[in-house]
Amino acid sequence: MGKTQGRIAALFLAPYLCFFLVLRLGPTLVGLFASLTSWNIVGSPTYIGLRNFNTLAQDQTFAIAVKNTLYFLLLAGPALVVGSLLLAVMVNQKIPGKRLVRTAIFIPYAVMPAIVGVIWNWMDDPHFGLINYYLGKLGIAPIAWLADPTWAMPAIAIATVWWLAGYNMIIYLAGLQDIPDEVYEAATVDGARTFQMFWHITVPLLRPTTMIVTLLTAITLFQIFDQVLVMTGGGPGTSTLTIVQYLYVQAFQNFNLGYGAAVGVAIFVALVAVGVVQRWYAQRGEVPT
Amino acid sequence: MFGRFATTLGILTALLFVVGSVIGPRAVAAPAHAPLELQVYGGWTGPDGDVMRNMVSQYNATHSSVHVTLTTLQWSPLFSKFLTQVRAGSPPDVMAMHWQDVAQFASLGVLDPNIVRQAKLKSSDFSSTAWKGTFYKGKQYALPLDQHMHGLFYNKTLFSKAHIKSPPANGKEWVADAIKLTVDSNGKHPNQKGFNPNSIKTYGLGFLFNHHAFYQWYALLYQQGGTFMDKSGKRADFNMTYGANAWRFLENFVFKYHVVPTAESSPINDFVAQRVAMIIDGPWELPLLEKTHIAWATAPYPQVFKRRAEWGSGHILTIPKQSNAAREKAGLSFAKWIIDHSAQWSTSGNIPVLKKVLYPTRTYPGRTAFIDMMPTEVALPDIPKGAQVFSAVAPSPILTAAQAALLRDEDPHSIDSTLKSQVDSITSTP
Repeated sequence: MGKTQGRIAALFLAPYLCFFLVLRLGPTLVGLFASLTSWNIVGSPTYIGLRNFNTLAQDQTFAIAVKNTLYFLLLAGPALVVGSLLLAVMVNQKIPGKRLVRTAIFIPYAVMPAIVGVIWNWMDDPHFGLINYYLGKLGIAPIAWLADPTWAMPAIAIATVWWLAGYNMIIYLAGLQDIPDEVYEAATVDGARTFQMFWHITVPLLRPTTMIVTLLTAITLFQIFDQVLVMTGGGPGTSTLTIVQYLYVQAFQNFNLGYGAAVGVAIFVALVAVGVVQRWYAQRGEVPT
Repeated sequence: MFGRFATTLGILTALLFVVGSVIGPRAVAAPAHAPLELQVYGGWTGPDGDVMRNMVSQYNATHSSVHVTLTTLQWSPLFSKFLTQVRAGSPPDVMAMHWQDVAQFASLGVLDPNIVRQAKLKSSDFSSTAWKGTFYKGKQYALPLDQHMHGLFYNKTLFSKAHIKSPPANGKEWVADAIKLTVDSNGKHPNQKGFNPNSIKTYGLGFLFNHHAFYQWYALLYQQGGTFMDKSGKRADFNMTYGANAWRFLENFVFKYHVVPTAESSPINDFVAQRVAMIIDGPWELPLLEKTHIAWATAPYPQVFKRRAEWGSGHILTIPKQSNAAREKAGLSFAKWIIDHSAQWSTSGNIPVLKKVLYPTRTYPGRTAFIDMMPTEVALPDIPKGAQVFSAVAPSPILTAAQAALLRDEDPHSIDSTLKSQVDSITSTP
């Protein structure tokens, strides 16, 4: 690349880099600094070293929030990766009304997560909700979805899967359409059955897509907030309290900005760790990136 | 490589400079004779927001030297925005809040009690409960706007079908009426043989299972002569027997009599759909009910124990501290105008506290019961950590207590102990 081309490239990149500096890197650095302070927004921050992180390590409510977030990840994650793949394979077939089905599955993603919470609040109503109505038709006693600590997190996971599955499905569809038809034709000639083709052709060739879907899903689920706030407020008790909600409560309700920032740094470290693991797995040579 | 980096950085700096000079202060400088722009913040996101917006429009139409812009958001994000604006040196000129919020913001030093004195308000012109709500540690920080408290809404058609002539006034009547009004799919009531609690068609009573359930407990505590915190505001010092009586009374509605739908999420919608015959809710629901076709009425929160008390709060208008005295004065003048014209505010459901506008407010449907409760309303204590102690989302001691009682039927004494220790742990942290 010549000097002039480099300058032109820099000029094109500059607007994005400006926003990146002001809206991403800047706040991140301020957040890192805030995590080392005691700060109530109004006054000046007081440097306290790693005291916030020491407190965080002993904070039982934070431990509950971490446990709940991981539980949520376990509930919704596999469903969103495997379920979306199956949906993509289904709507990639030559079936009548294929476009309509694709749209219907994708539409929930266009809804704001807070609205998703409102919709599912109604669906999950123990007495007058649609879910219990149909369960009742099957002879199943009503479940207090959002009021029972056992069911509250699965209920939020179901709502989230409904919301996000369409988005993941679209990514998988793009991956599926990159697989040449000739590969399937050759397998058919060799006598492979549908499931064998799915397992030995589709799944391996979609591995890079699966890596991306898994990473994006993990990041999104780790930051679960809106649905929880609307559907349960973190309750009953603390059974659905998640890390981001805890950050919100500490920083913006209790105005412990320094401590809230420390929670944010913990989330950042966890997400970087997920990214590093993904990168390491990809670089093992098993996955072309 | 370094050359490229330096070029990029140079371009970025230049771009930032250009952007800064375009959107900087000079770009938004007001013309010499433009009206003074005032910012007013309030957490009115329901029909009350529309009413306040109308009032602001009227103010703008009659005051050419000032232009007020109203910003409405949910209370919690609004308070964050407020403090951020304070930090940035451009606070709103009027900040609405509730009585229980004063302690926190006054102790942060962001409210100006001196300017409020200049309004020369007279306590005799206002409801005494609301007047008290504007003070913290002997200083008045706000202008009182309204009161809103829990009351009883009931469906007149369902009452008449159940041959109930008047709304319940005490605990016994309340339970008896709720039982009469609860009907399963076979037409049986909870006190009849063969009643099936899993197929209830109409419930006698509905209420929220969140922090509002705690508010009911709080009212029942006060009905027995109890209080929640000690005088220093640093310890939860309530009478455990009174506390247990209050939880037990509420738990019985759900688990013993089966007259309240478990984990009800929207009593008002269930009430409008005529699936519940009575609900405990606040006057903010009045504008919605006025638009429905059901026959409804309101009554005071029943007196279950030895005296009347019901949870309540009130909106107040504060003047945040700022360096521009002219803006502070203009903010105060606007706030006073709103209070003087608060008869209109009653259309939002909230009960204005300026005595001279109370008479016209009585003519609006459903308001009388709430007006009658104004002297007996009990507010949450004004403590600096109020936002944390009385939070509506987890981890909140009041939410945990309410849900332990009403979702899991836990022993009231153990709920009280946990509540006490959780509140004390928050208030004792510096």
